[in-house]
Amino acid sequence: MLENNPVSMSPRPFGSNFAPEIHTEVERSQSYVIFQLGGEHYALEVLRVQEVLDMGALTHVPGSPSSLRGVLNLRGHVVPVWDLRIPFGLPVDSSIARAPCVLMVESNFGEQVRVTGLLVDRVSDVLEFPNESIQPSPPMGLGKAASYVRGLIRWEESFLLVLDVDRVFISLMNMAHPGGGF
Amino acid sequence: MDDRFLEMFFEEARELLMVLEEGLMEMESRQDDRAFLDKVFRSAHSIKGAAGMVGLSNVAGLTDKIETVLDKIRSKIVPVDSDIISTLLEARDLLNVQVDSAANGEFTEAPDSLIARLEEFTKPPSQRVQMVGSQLKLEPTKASADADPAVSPEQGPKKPKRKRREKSKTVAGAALASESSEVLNSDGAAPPQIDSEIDAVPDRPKGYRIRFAPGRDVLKRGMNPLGVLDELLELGEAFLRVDPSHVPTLDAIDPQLNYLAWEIELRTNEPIERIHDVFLFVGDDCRIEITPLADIEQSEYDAASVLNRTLKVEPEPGTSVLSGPTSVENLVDSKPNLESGTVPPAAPLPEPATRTTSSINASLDQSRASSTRSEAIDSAGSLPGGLLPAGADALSKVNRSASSRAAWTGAAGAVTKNTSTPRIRVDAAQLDDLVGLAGELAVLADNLQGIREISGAESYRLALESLERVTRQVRDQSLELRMVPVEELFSRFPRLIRDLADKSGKEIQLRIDGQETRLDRTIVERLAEPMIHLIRNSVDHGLETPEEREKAGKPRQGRIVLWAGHEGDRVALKIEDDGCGLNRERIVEKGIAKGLVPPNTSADDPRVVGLIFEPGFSTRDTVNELSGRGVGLDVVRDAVRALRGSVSVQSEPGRGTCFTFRLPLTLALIDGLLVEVAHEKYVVPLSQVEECVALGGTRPALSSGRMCVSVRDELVPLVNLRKLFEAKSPNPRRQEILLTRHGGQRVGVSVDKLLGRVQAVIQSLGEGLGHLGRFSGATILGDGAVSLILDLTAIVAESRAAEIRADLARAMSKPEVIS
Repeated sequence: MLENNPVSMSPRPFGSNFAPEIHTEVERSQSYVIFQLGGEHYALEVLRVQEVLDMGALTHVPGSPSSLRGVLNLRGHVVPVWDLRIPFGLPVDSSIARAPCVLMVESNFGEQVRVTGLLVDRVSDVLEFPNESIQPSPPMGLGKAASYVRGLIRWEESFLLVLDVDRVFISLMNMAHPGGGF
Repeated sequence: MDDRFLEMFFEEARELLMVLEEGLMEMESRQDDRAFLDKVFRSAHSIKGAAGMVGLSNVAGLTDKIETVLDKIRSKIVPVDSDIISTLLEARDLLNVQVDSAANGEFTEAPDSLIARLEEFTKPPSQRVQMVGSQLKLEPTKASADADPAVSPEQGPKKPKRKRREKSKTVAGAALASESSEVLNSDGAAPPQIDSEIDAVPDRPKGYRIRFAPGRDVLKRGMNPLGVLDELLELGEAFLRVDPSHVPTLDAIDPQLNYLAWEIELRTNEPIERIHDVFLFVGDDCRIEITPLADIEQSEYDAASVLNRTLKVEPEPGTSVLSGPTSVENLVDSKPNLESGTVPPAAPLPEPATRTTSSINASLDQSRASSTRSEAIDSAGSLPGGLLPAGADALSKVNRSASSRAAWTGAAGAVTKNTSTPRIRVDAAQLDDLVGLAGELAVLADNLQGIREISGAESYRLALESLERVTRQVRDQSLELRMVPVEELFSRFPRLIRDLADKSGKEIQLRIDGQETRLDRTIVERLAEPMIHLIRNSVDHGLETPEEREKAGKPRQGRIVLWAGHEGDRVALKIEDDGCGLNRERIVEKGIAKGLVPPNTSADDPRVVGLIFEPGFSTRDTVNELSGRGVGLDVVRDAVRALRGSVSVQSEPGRGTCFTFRLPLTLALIDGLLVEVAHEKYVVPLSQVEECVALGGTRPALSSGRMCVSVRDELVPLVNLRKLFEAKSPNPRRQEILLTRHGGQRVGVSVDKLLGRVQAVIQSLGEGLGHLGRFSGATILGDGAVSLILDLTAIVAESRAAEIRADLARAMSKPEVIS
């Protein structure tokens, strides 16, 4: 595929929805974007998220894997948007109450840093947690999502699942590969 | 060391290594072209200088050896032969390795044997032979034994003759050298002197006056001016003078800047090129003037006398400079001058300063300059013309009387090192961004043109027209910036083919045509691999051995032609050989076995040769007949397709094979047709569309199981995009057909609507979608929506493949695999 117009990764301001403070004490604590997917709450490091968009008009790509919702225009750059529900084994049912948001996540493909959109049910908050509050995740009880979770954070009587976004990308790319899964 | 600086070095070194390699490849045929040899020499010299600057002593050391050999060659002390070239190429390759490993933070040392061989070449041939004889040095014997039989095959039969001529010329050169026999015998170890002795011209000046004024930022760039001076000192006897006149007062001194300039009187017999070479690296912001002393003696005679008169007011050379300032007619208190005067002129130390007003500073500078110069006169001793004007007054006189060549740097006629159009290096990614933005701007400007139609907006008409024009110019110019000549690609192949010929024992003649053709930089970069692949194929499997060729009644020497040129709005690149051609029977057999073609296909079918590009076609048991290394030609095809290009092959048994790449001029932008299919908008590259016809009048019909449509009595197969895209909505009553060409045949592609023409900036679809060949990318339309760009060639191929699979399935009377 052409790569003559990679999405440039010059530092951009975060989206208008929120403007998280990036603390210099990265060593000790981190901020996380909290989002919902299939009834679970997930946490993703704010540093990986370039911005959050409301789900707008997408251009459908005929012949693409079902997990690709389409492509959108992010300030002049074409960015693919993947539905996280597919790799997580959740039904794609439009009747479920969603306020879908697209997390614009930075990912490394080979030597290139690109921005990829991940569609989630809802983005609820940005919270900061000390690093030691992350606990290892139990191997069971999470279904397909288990392989994408790298830890748990106790939060308001329940748990936040810390997303391993790189594994998500690997899995999406494998699914997208011809003969891989569609 | 600044990383950016190192990065610049690696970039520059790789470029120079390319130049060096090209130079070496051509050297045998151009050894009488002094300008050319100088260029090759300079490339080596530049590498040495740059490597020294970044502290890569291994690179600098090896380059130094190469440079010495090249210097011998250009001064005709050593004749060029295949032996030397091979060794130099080997050394160049090692340099490449050294540079690459240095980029990874590793250090590779050159093997002693190579160094020894290079050193051996620096001796005149007569001596070389003697050495071999008397001291039984093994290296040169080995080297010549290695290389001589391997006398490059591509030179062919004519080669020995030419070589003999060269040899005789060398003998003549040696005879000339032996006229000054004491030089050869006693001073053989100091090659430069032999050099100058031989081509010394009677009126050659015995030295140079050099003014060297490095730029302010020279230290920041990592250049050490003192290193340059050291290098000059090596060339002969030099008298140095510092010009500290631009040193500011202490409170204004920035220790990171350079304020000094130097005057050098160099007594040497070296040619002026040698002096220029020393300054190769100092950068464009340095002022360098080199004037042969003889010229100065003649043309500046008057100036010198003027100067002497001016200087009479100044103290006699030898007396303390302390008295200097008082004799200069500047009303400055003597304290700062005293301090400045006590600074030895050779020490580039900033002078202490007192707080003075700017006007005092100005006159202070002047007096300081004159005091330094009076001292300079002292050190210059009795050299005629070795004087510099003391004050502005004298300066103007000198300028008037002296020729511009000998003029003083401050004058308008100053000559800078680089007289060609200045060039700058630009980050390629930035350039891509610029092209992208320029394209978007063009789209925006297009959209704004609608304003003209609005009543009341007439006054903007002119502005809008200008906007459109300027936008297009911006776009074209920025696109042009991305274009490079294919020479950058082709230039590496002579070497490749030489090496391949050496290895395979085949004789190959290479012809390159049209290398000035310009192409998008990205295309040129990404074509290297596919082309190398095909060239290897040609040498390994296309061309026969000299014996086989003679048997077949062909010249012993095989021929490979690389050609580039324009074909319409595309650029075509051809790789042609006059070898044995493709084995069609074998291909058909394979193709039928693989189910790629129907079982009854004849070997004459034009589609047959195209099969070699099919994935999985090249397998281990075809290795020897066809493509070779187990890597299929489908890789080549995919690489070219990714560049929105195509590859085709023609082959005649016994006559040869020709691969043709057809590529767009640029990747960034296309002229497109905006179409609608199932309520989505798509862009079709205009270059893929031959014609549009409405489907209303022509009814699609089934012909041997395929949808076809009759266009002007021609039955054209039809690809239905709605079907391919699995659109759920019913076909509209009226459809449009885009006629395209696929494998020489017309094919129709049906769409719902034609919406008009667009200029599209192409973007990648992103990771994970690369396999979707049907889209060559995406673009952003004027309304901000993303539209996919259709690749009609891939779409037709895709539906064709589906049909063939369906045919096969039917033929085997199994249920259809794909409908």
